[in-house]
Order: sequence, then C-alpha cells, then structure tokens
Amino acid sequence: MTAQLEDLRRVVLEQFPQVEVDPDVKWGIGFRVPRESLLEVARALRDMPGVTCDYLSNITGVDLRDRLQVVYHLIGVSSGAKVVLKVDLPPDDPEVDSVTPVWPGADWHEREAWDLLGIRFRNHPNLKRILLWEGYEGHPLRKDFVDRRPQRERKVRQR
Amino acid sequence: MGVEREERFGARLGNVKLARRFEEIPPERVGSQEAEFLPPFWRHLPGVVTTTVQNLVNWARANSLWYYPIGTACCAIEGLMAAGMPKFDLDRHGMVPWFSPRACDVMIVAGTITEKMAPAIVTIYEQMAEPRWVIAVGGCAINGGPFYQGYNVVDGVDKLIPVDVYVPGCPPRPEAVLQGIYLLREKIREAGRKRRQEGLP
Amino acid sequence: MAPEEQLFMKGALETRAPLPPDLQRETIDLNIGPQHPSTHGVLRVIVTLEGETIVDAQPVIGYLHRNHEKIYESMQYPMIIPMTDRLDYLSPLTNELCYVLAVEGALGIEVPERAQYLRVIFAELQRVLSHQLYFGTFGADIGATTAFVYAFRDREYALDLLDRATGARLLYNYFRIGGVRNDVPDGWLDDLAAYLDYLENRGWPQYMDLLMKNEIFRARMEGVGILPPDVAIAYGASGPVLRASGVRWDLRKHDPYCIYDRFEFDIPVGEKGDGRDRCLVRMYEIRESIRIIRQALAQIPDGPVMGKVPRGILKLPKGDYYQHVDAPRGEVACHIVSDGGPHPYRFKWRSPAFVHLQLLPYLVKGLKLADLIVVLATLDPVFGEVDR
Repeated sequence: MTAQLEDLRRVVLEQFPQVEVDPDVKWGIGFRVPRESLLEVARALRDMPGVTCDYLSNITGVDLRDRLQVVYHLIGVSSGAKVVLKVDLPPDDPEVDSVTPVWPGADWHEREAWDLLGIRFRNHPNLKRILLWEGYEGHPLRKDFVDRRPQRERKVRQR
Repeated sequence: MGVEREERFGARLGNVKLARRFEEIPPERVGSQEAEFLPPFWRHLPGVVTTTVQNLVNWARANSLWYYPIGTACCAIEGLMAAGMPKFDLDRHGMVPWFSPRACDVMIVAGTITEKMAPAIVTIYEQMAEPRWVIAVGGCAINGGPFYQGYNVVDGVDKLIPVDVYVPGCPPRPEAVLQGIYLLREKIREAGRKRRQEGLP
Repeated sequence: MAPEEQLFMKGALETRAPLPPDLQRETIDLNIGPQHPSTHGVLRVIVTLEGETIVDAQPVIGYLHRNHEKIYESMQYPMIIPMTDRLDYLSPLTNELCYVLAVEGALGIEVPERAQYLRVIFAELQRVLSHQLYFGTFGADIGATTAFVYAFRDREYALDLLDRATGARLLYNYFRIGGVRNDVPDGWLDDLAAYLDYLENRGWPQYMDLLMKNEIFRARMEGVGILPPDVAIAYGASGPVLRASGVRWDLRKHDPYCIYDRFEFDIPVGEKGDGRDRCLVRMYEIRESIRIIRQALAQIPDGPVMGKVPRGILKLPKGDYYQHVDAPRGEVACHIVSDGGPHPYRFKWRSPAFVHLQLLPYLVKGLKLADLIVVLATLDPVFGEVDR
C-alpha cells in the first residue's frame, strides 16, 4: 500500500506540475490544487490505472477567515488508494468547477456547501439550497454569520 | 413579528396563506378548547345534572385519547414507537396513533422542531378539532434541548402552539411518557371543575 | 404467473385498442410529507406521476437540520461526544466511535485492550439493533405491522442490557476519548451471550420466516430499485446498499480501524442490487455481527478501560483529520479541521443516508407509486443523519 501511494504522488506531481503536496494531511495523500485545474486532476485520478479513485467520500467547505477552501476526500475501491484534494478560493469570488461530471455523487455535497457556506459550483445541474429553504438570507456556517431571528413568545392557552 | 411569520410561512408553503393565526382567535373562543362549558341548552338544568354530564364527558375523553404522532427525531423512537410497543403498551389506555389530525384529540410532539418544519406543525395543530391537547416529549420540544443554539431550531414547540404537558428527558424513558399521559388525563378529568367552583354552569 | 394466465394477459393487452399517437398526457405533482407515517422521519418527496407511474421523484430534506456542525464549533472536544449520539440515533455508538477514533488518532492516545474489545462489542451490538429496527420499520411500511412488534420486542432485551451497562436506553454517551466510561457490570457478558443465543436460534429464524418467505413481500421487493455496481460507486453509496449491488467493500476489512483485523467474519454481498438483496444483506449482517461479538467475548482480556489522556483542556494540533467507520447504514466519516485551539474550527460529518437519498430519483423512475415507499425503506435513511 505504501509503495503504491509513493508512486501515486510521483505520477500526479509529474503530470500536473501546478499541484503541490500538502503536509498537514494525515489521511492518505493530500494535494493542493489550484482551482482552474481541479476538473482535469479529478478526471485523471479517476481514470488513472492502478489508482482509479472512483469513490468520492466527502466534500467539505471550510471558511478560513481570509479565504474559502473546498476539501475532497477520494477513495479507490479496487486499489485502496486514499487521496485528499484541497482547493483554495478567494473570498470575493468563491467559485469552482463542479465535479459532478466526474462523480455524480458530488451533487448534494456541493449543494450543501453552497447552502451553508456560499461556495458556488459552476456547471452544477441544480445548485439550490438543500438544508435551508429558498429565500433564507445568509450562509450559516460562515464565521461572520449572525442569527437575526426575532424572539418568539411562549403561547399560553387563554382562559 | 406576526407579519414576518406569515411571510416566511407563506413562502415555504407555496404562497398558501394559513386560514387564521393563533393570535386572531378571540379569547372566549380560545377558552372553549378547555372543554369547560356545556352547550347553552344544558345550562338551565340543576347543578347535579350538569356535574354528572361533565364528569361523563370528561371520563369518555380521557379514556380514549387518540393521538397524532409528530415524531421528528430520536424521541420518536423512544417516546412514540417504544411506548406503543408491547412492553410499555399505550393501547391498553385506549390510545391509538391515528394519522389524521381531524380525528385526533392529542398531538404528541416528540423531537426537535426546526424553522423549516414549523409551518407544518402549526398547520396540523390548526386542523385538529377541539377539544385538543398537546404533549411535548423530550428536551427539544420543551425548549430546544441540546440544540437550542441552532439557527434553524425553534426553541420549544410551545413557541408555536400551546402545550399542556411537558415530559423532560433526552430521550425520556417510555415510562416517563406514560406518566405524562397520566397527568394529561387528570387534567382532562378536572375540566369544568374550576368553572363550577366559580358558580358558572 | 402460470402459463394460462400469461396467455390471458397477452390476449387482453393485444385486443385493447391502441392509444392515439396525439393523446395529450398530463403529469401530476404529488407531495408526500414532511409529516407522513412511512417516510422514516421528516422527508418530503415531490413526485411527478403519469397515472400511477413515477416520472420523477425529488426529495426535499432539511426538516431536521439541527446545526450540529455549527454547534460543535463552540464546544470543547469531550463535550461533543453526547451530541454525536444524536446524529444517527438508531446506532449512536457508531457515531461516537468515529469521532473518538478521530480525536485519538490526532492526539496519539493509546486505548487499552479491554476498552477496544468493549468498543467492538458495543458497535456490533448497535449494528444488530439497527438492522432489527430496519426490519421492523420495513415491515411496517409495506403493511406487515407484526414485523414492527417482533423487532421491538427483541430490541427491548438488548436495550435492557445496554441500560445496565451504560445507563441509557437510546442515546448512550458511553465512549470517551481514551477508552470507555465504565466497565460493564458483573455477569453482563454472560447475559449478552445468552441474548445472542436467543437471537440466533429463535429471533433471526422468526424474522426470515416472517418476511423473506412471504410471497407478497418477495413480489414487492424483487426487481424493485435495481442499482448497478458502477452507478453505486459513482454516487458514493456505501454499506449494505453498495454490497447488495455486488461490490465487495467493507471498511472493517479493507481499511481496518479499532481492532477489527483480529476477527474473522464474512461480508454478505448481493447479486442483483434490487430491494430484496439490500434487505437480505442486512439480515445476514446480523448473523455476522453475532459472530464477531462471540469472538470478542472469547478474546476479551481484563484490565483498565480508560487510557492516559493529556490533562487539562484537550487541544488538537493544527491540521485536518479524517476518520471513517462502517456504520449499519454505510460509511460514516468525520472531518475535523483544527487550528490548535480547544474547539474544532470546522467539523463536517459525512453521513451515508444523505448520499443514498440522491439515488432516489434514479432508482424509482418508471416504477409505481407504491414502489417508492419500498425503495425508500430499503435505502434505510435516518433523518438525524441526513439533515444533521
């Protein structure tokens, strides 16, 4: 397993020189990917023989205070490979390509990232709010979110 | 506050305005939900008759409480499902879960109520025919429970509808829910007593 | 169908007048939920029907969105453990296990042997309980309410056991960072062995007799909601849903955590990926879990149940941590982003039921309305997990 992971690191770095390895990631191999090359790196990882990361486990959006970040956790079911991709987005333009053409299961994960964090995904088939309702203002998981609901009173049965 | 609520609910129910809001019901009509008074033609009869009739009506209502189960979360498994199962049977008290609000007496709210779910709860409550009672089971239905800080959580179902019995716990044991039901039945059996003490029919 | 019946049906269909090609068809939009007895919780499905055939089914979720992830950002690490219970409240110890393993992996805490064995015993007991409840609610959805009562009767014995060991019936708050909270009482392990004997010899055959051999059940489950294996992997399905499609992937074997590599067990794998396979995979997983628990009971050593944890407020080092476990519903994972402080900076739960509900439009296209309920039941969603 370790020899295969070393190979994977070398092959990806050779094929995509703009990608760098992330040392903070302890689970599998972490790559920092610039947002323009996300889709081609994703496709390459899915189609790479011997690695075939065909199972997308999780997409997380993170609000680091000076930028937004999207983290993808990938697993190869037949090969056992574990890869983490991190994409940094500027705070004023948090848009990234959707990976639904590569893994259709990314659909709802990306809708949730849009709903709770405000990260837009280009070419997503149905980018609407999923956990909160259409018309809700704000993105709650952002660090600067303030809950502005008015105070409700307790309803008591009148005599 | 009232207008805001209707706007938010209207938007999520597809612009269907609710028939009436709780605040608009006139007070004397609200009092009737306690099942405290008898219809006008009974009132000229002597007190011994009205008391007996009231006791009979209360007995009938208390011993056959059909409940509408609103089970959203974990409390539904314990407080609703396990309470109805053979070990802690609710059926022996005459309580049957029935999924039509018009035919139910009690609404048992077990689980967290979120802002998104709130209009549905209020709509169901308004569809219930009087006399109707509400039991709030679990911490979340009482005051938001462990999730009271949430931006999508309503802190307690009594912010939406009036509650008669609160059963605390997270989740409460089915025996605790049974105790809550016994308290409600005592409350139902005493309906009309205060009015009679004040000298009214 | 008997041959004479087939001939009759063929004649009936052929002698019917053909429909005119310019016949105007209309679809109806039907709203199921959010308050509905058979949706396993608060799910709303907007179904587009043509007659009784489903053209599209869009699930609307979020009616139980309780903001776990935002609340954890203001809690310290040990405080989060009881909240993790409320995620998949039908197998809460699995969520606790996922979280506790993530934190222990980050801090490098060593858990004593007895605690590891107890964790495996409790996690597999949760799998048994969850699948029993699945069987009960599946029966209730299809209309066989007897199954519901059988499932809860057997669950009550196990819940009594768990009550004696942990103090609670449904949401246990039993695992701790570094071990478990307390050792099990005297005689508990023997009582657990007796329960497993009862379940394997009397309970499980009753379930199979009640459901799997029933003609009506088989007709309603077979061929309904077929999921091919490549679609399953591409959508991120995991657990029994993936294994029923024929993919041999179990995190307990292929990415072992805790001490699962010391036990010998099989992985039930289906063939066609229809509703019946998904149901059967779960039924056989009950037997495999009983096998694992028996091996753990034979091997469990004596000793402490709590390891050495750093004193004071726990602070995870800066970085990303990810831990996935195989829960009864699929792959539960938690992703913790820490900035070195006492609270997690970002906490994300990956829940299997959330991912499986995406499959609903794909699985029910072309089926009848009654099959929607069956497919939803075989996906086994729990809304505490879907909406978090």
